[in-house]
Amino acid sequence: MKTVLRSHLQEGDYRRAAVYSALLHVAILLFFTVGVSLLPSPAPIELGLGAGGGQGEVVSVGLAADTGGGAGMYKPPVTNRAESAPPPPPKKAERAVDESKVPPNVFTQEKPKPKPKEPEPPHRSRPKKETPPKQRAGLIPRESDPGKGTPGGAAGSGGGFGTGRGVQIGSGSGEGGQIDSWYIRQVEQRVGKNWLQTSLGSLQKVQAVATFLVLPSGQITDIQLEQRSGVSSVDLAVIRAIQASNPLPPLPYELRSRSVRFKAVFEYPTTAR
Amino acid sequence: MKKGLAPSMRKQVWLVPLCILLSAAAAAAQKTDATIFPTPTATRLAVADFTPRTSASAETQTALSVFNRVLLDDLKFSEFFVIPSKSFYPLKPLRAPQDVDFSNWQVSTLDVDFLAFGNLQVDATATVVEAYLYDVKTHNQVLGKRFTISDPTLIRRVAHEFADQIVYELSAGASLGVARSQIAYVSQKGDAKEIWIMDYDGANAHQLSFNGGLNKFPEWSFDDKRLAYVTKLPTENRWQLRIQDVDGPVRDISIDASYVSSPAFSPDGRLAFSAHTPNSRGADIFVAGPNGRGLRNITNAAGIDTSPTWSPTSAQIAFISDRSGSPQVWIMDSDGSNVRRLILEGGHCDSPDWSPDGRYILYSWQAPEQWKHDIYLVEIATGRINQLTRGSGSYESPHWSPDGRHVTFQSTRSGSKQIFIMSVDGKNLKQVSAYGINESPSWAPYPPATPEQ
Repeated sequence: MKTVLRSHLQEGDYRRAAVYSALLHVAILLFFTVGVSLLPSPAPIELGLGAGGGQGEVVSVGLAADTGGGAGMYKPPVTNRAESAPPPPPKKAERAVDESKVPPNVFTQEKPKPKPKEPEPPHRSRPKKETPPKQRAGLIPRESDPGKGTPGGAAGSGGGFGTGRGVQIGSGSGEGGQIDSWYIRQVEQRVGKNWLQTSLGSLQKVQAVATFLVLPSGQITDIQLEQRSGVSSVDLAVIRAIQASNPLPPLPYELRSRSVRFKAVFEYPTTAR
Repeated sequence: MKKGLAPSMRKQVWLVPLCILLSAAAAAAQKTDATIFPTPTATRLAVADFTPRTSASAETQTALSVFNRVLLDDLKFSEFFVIPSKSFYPLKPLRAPQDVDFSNWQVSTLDVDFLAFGNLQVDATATVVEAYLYDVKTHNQVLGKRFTISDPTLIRRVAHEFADQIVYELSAGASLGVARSQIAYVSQKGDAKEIWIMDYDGANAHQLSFNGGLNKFPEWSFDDKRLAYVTKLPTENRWQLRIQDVDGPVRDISIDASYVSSPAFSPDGRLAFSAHTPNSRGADIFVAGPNGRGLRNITNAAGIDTSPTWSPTSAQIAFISDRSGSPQVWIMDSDGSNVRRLILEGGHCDSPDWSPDGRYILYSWQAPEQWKHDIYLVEIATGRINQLTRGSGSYESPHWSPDGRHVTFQSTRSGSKQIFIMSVDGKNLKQVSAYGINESPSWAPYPPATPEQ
């Protein structure tokens, strides 16, 4: 074997190749961890083959510039996709995550007691927080999350290639696209079922965003309120909706190799997706 | 190759840990894998029968049956919750939190979000109710209350109180509940029409006026302590504007008027009413201070202006005027300026009532060529009109509940004029008066004081 190698590779050539290879790897890594954030987020190109709500053979192909894609069991979108993907969410919103962490046991804290009745002004308007209009792509948004990546994510550099039922090929440090599957829709329904209409009180409009992590066992952890609604009772109800959904069913096979971080956009009245 | 890595290669070895480090850092950074857009759903509430705490004495059983029925009726009428039938409930009685097996309440036939339960005991000295509300999904206690009353006949009040607390808690404070609220109305028994007050569900009806004459148009003050109405005593031939405290004392507001009707308190304590005085051209709307002082004619127009109702900010008044021909709903500022017609349909409008949130006005309307009234709702900003009642009988004198989710009115749908309540979406219609002729209901603006706890 060594003889064979020697016969094909001169020592000098090998060294050079190794150095180039390492430098190239670093360059690619830097490109995906830093460089991507500088680029405008392009419209993803997805090819969904096969029919049947993610049951069939599905291949999604991401181009090099497409930092998403590559997930198994991709469900074809039902609604029209926007012509171009929206710009990445403002950085400010991300920073708000840390500032507005809510402990998972928020419900065990003392709830604000009902205030003694006072002759309320008949306009029981609550302070409403003006939230910027949400930017969202078509169905399951491939919202880019620039500057962040994950190994073993759904995307490979230069085009992650997922074939078939969730078998994911492609490692690398792409930031990963958003996954979609029957399981995700189930989680959406479950959390929605625990988000109670009555908790909205008399508010005409509500928006809050929370994130949580689902372990392979289905256990929900790390609930964080990313964007507050501006009304504490609504925030509590949003956290409760996630807590009350715990535990979720175990992650499906194709997602079980890791935990899944969900972003839940609590929006009322619901706008078209 | 046996020499090991070449020197130039060795120099690059540091790149390996760097790569690993960068990869790990990238992994640590949070990212979202999936975004979901949950849609809110109705709150499902189970109301388990309360049980005797120690012994099931006859008094305790009687109190329990009243309590359980009233609590369930209140919560159903609140229209906030989906309440699954009790026939699906687990059979195990729940006395205290430790008796609850939450998984039993999450089976598909129930699948409730919250569970109300508790216990009750009537003793020689006191009646004690321990009431709980638990979040079935998170197992958190939402309410834990202990009510002590000296008189077991007050048990309805305790049920109302607990129902309102559940509504307040689960509606995020949007409603104080209406279970403790009261309705004033006119009841005719024999020739006299007297003012009566009852609980919102028709219980505890008691008479307020005892003058044997005709008493009409009761209207609550916004502190719930007084009622304004008009009286024609049997010995007199003129109508008198009168204010009576709920606990008895009566005060007359002297006005030089041949006719006075439909008083209405403003949230800031002023009093508007319709009167025909020697100086007015027909009946006009007058506004006076809390004691009847500072009387001022604010319409002063030809024709009949009547039935004033205040906006919740006390800045505007809606009223009925026939200045355009037939009686219609008009709006003006409380000083009489900016008069405009709100309802542009023909027919006859009557008894407008401004919603607690200021957005709507309830009124009754008799369509042209029709013999009966029905209740309608107009959205002030858009002028959009909704019909709330249909079917046989006439529906008149609508009045909002304090939480703006319900309506009371009089109707002949069951024969004679009686008082009804229903949700503003037309559901949950209930007749709450029965004997004699009952009309002109006025729902008290806020629930009265809570029973001792």
